[in-house]
Amino acid sequence: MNSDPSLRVTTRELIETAERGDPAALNQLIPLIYDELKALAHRRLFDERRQDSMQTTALVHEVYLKLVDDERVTQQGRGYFFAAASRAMRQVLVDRARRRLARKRGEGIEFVTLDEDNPVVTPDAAELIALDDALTLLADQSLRHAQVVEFRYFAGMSVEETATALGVSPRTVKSDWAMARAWLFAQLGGKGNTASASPRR
Amino acid sequence: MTHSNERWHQLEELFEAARDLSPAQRERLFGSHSLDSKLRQEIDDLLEAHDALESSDEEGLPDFLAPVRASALSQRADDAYDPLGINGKSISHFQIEKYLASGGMGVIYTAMDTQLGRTVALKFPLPHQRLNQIVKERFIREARSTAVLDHPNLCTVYEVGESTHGLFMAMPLYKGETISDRLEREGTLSVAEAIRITRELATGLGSAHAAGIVHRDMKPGNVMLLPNGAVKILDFGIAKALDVTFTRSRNTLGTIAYMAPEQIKGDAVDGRTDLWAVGVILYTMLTGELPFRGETEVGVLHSILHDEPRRIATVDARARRVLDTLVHGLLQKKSRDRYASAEMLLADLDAVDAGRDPAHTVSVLERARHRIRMPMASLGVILLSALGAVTWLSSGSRPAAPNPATPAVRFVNNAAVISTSSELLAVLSPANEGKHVRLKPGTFTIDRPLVVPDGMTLEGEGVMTYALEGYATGFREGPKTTLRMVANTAGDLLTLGNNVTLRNLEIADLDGRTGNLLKIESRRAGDVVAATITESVLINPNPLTPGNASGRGFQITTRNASKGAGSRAHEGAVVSVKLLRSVLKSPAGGGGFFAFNFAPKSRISLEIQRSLIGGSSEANGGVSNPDSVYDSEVRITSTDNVYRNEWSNLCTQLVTGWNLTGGSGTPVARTLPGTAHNRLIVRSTNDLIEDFTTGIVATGSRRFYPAPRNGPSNDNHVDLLLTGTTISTPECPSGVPSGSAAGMSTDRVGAVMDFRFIGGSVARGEFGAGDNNTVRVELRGVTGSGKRANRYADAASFSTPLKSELRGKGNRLEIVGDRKTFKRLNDAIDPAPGPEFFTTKR
Repeated sequence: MNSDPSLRVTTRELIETAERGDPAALNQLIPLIYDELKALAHRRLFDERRQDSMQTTALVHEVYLKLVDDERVTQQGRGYFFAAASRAMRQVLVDRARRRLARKRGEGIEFVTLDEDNPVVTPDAAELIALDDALTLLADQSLRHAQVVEFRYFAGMSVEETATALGVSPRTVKSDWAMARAWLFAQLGGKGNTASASPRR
Repeated sequence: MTHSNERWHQLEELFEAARDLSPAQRERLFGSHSLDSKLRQEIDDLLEAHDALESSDEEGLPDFLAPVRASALSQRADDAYDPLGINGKSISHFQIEKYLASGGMGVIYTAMDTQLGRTVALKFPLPHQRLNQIVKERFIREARSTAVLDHPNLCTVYEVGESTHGLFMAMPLYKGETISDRLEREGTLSVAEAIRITRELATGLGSAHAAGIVHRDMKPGNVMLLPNGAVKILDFGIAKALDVTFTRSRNTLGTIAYMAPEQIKGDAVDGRTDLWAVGVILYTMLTGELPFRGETEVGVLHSILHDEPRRIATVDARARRVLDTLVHGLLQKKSRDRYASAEMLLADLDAVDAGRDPAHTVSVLERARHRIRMPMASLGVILLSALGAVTWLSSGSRPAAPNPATPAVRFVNNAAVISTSSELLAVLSPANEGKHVRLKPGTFTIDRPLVVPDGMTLEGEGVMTYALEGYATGFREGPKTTLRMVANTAGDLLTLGNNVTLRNLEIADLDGRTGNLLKIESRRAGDVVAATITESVLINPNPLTPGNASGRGFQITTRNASKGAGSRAHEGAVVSVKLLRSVLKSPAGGGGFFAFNFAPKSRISLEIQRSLIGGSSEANGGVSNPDSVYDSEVRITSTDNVYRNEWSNLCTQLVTGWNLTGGSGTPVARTLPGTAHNRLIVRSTNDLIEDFTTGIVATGSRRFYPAPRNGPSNDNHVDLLLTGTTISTPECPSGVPSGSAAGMSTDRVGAVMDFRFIGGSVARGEFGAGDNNTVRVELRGVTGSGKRANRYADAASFSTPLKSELRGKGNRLEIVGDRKTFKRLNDAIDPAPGPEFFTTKR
């Protein structure tokens, strides 16, 4: 996979900076990945009516190959990249959803230039924004739980990858994941008895 | 980064222990802990959600979005729409006609009551509302209790029943529009109409409150305006029946905007909670805008908890005064400072209408203000044209509503001495502007973010000691006064008003809390805020949160309160802060100062003397977020201070001492206009900046995204003069393998530098740096650390040189003087800037 070498240098430098413990470097990595993801997503993803984790995973890995794919990068560094990528993926999807909703309301606010396809509000847009808002609230409670969802849901990372990126055990990721999704379900108004999910009791 | 929210941890432990247990086992487990009812409810909700997800989910994605989908569908409204699939069916003795509307509380159909031959509205709670047997019973009980309410301003519930389609409520079908419909149509209402509606609301609420029923969800969408002028409040008691609280439902921006602070915090609600919402409705009717806004839900919540609404602009100064009093009396953050009852509000409205004294003013302060502003002679008759003839007189003496929890603090000659935490809370009432408060030695515990009113001096008994070099080092052994945060409530610990002085105090934050220690910020356009912190010790045990300003020792900003929803930048604000002979401890790297302009044409001035500052500091002349910031300036004068990294093992963690920027957009992926003509001026004399891996970063402008997301960043400047200042960065061991706790590996030693100066900087080497951004540096008698990885550039990416076509015009790093003199005057700066950066013009 070919790409602008200076982009790869910058990416590598930022990952190394993050490895040395400077969290600000990850923030700089996000816009960089965002642009790559957005371009790819435009071609690959938004033809589909719904995004599922398989597609987002593929996208994130494709961006990884393009920007990093370097055997010198440690496992930890790779984790940092995917952490930033999951945040970028979340931004790409949520920005697009917001833009669609804004267009539907006729407000004409363009948050980002992404694509100009039909301005119909699919449930995805509202769902994503709801999830984004709820995740922000969850992060207030526990940043780690919110990050687990971000990594797993938006970047399709495995339990092990998530554990490496966060520097915790896979067991912790598993229980965080169980709690976070229950919290989100309740937060989003699900509680127990909904039409789509009936509790066992 | 994890922050230890104690309650969350408790929840986490319970969830982990209980999730794989049977209901009976869970019951036993919880029985053995004594859980408070709120926690019990939370853990029950979580487990229920968990069970639902486990049983519905095969593999792969959990459908935690299912409830949103249900709600999104119910929002759609068209004639053929029939979300419950009941058109034409009979439910009990009602024949369903058609779908009418839906809202947060449910779906409404029109129906014919076949027994009484009248058309009614039938309301069904949304399918995703939790309606187990207990909730159903509560719903029916509440709805029946509201049926006893018989008042022309309240919507009577005819009947509550249960059908195969769930619970329903039969109500009169009103032909009219809600306040939200009206506002959508007309934008704003006249003062007279808004006051009239407020009176009707107060009358209806008064009757309900007298019956012990609180609405809890007052909002424009819940108030019907009928063509004959009648006003009807809908949905009484439903919020409680369905347990709609902030933590339990997915609230939209439209809903949470009307929530009172006590609802957000989960504190007890009462009739005054509804009065808050009336205040928000009144404000919205008059201005067409919400008093508390934000880009996100959290932003709105934060605004409700912390912001003061912008004053209502009316042409008529007298009308403004009346409205100020009403809004002020309704939108007090603490319910005890609000109108105590709907009757009190009515009394004020009556007074305004009838030309008598308002019987109830909001606070002693307000009363005092009115007295001061209006000479006694003019306090006679004032005509309030918008409302008809109104007499506004100075208020008489009104006994303050007694509140047993608030101790009385006696001021003698504007000064008081206090010794308890509850007295501290009491003196921080906005009514005590301009007072001098002495705090006796001892510890005052704080359990929430506090605001120090304008003009107040808080003075403790700590006695500062000093190093030989002259900077403060901490309090002497012996009696001292400590303010200690003990609750894990997010927010800025102390927000200082204008002309506030803190003196001889120790202020200690709680380990694990999210928020800044001190905040000094503009509150409106053109605001002036000046604060002084002197001979005090600030302890900030918390780390910086990546990507935002939380965790700072002191945060100083001119603000853009709108975050995009209309322009509400505090244009022309001036914020000045002095930190004198004080100590800021930052054991976890929580920042030193954070001085950012988010409003155009604004000024921040920060003066620091003889102080010891731990943690990393940051300043930016102007930051677009999201409106353009231009013509703004930050000026920092720092003399005889020590800035010391107290955080990490020197060589394992990258920490910057001063991060200085002339102007930039904020680093988020959104469209931001350009940032132009901002300036950061720094004068450092005899400072010591030590143990940071990077001493000083100075960047004329920063750009994080290419156009169209970030507008051009032009004409932003850093002007840095260091005189006699010493930069001491660590000499990190080389040859240590990466990942070892002992240090950075050989090639990473290159990260340690005294200076990084870049005229125009971009986040990646693919787009331009804008034009005419400069860093101008003058060093006189500066001592560096010897061989380091110092970087100097006119324009560059993170650290990669930019392609020539991206470097922009006039981006420049200028070092004042010539290279020879520079080397002679300044010691051990290695490498020194290259010859191409020197300029002789001053």
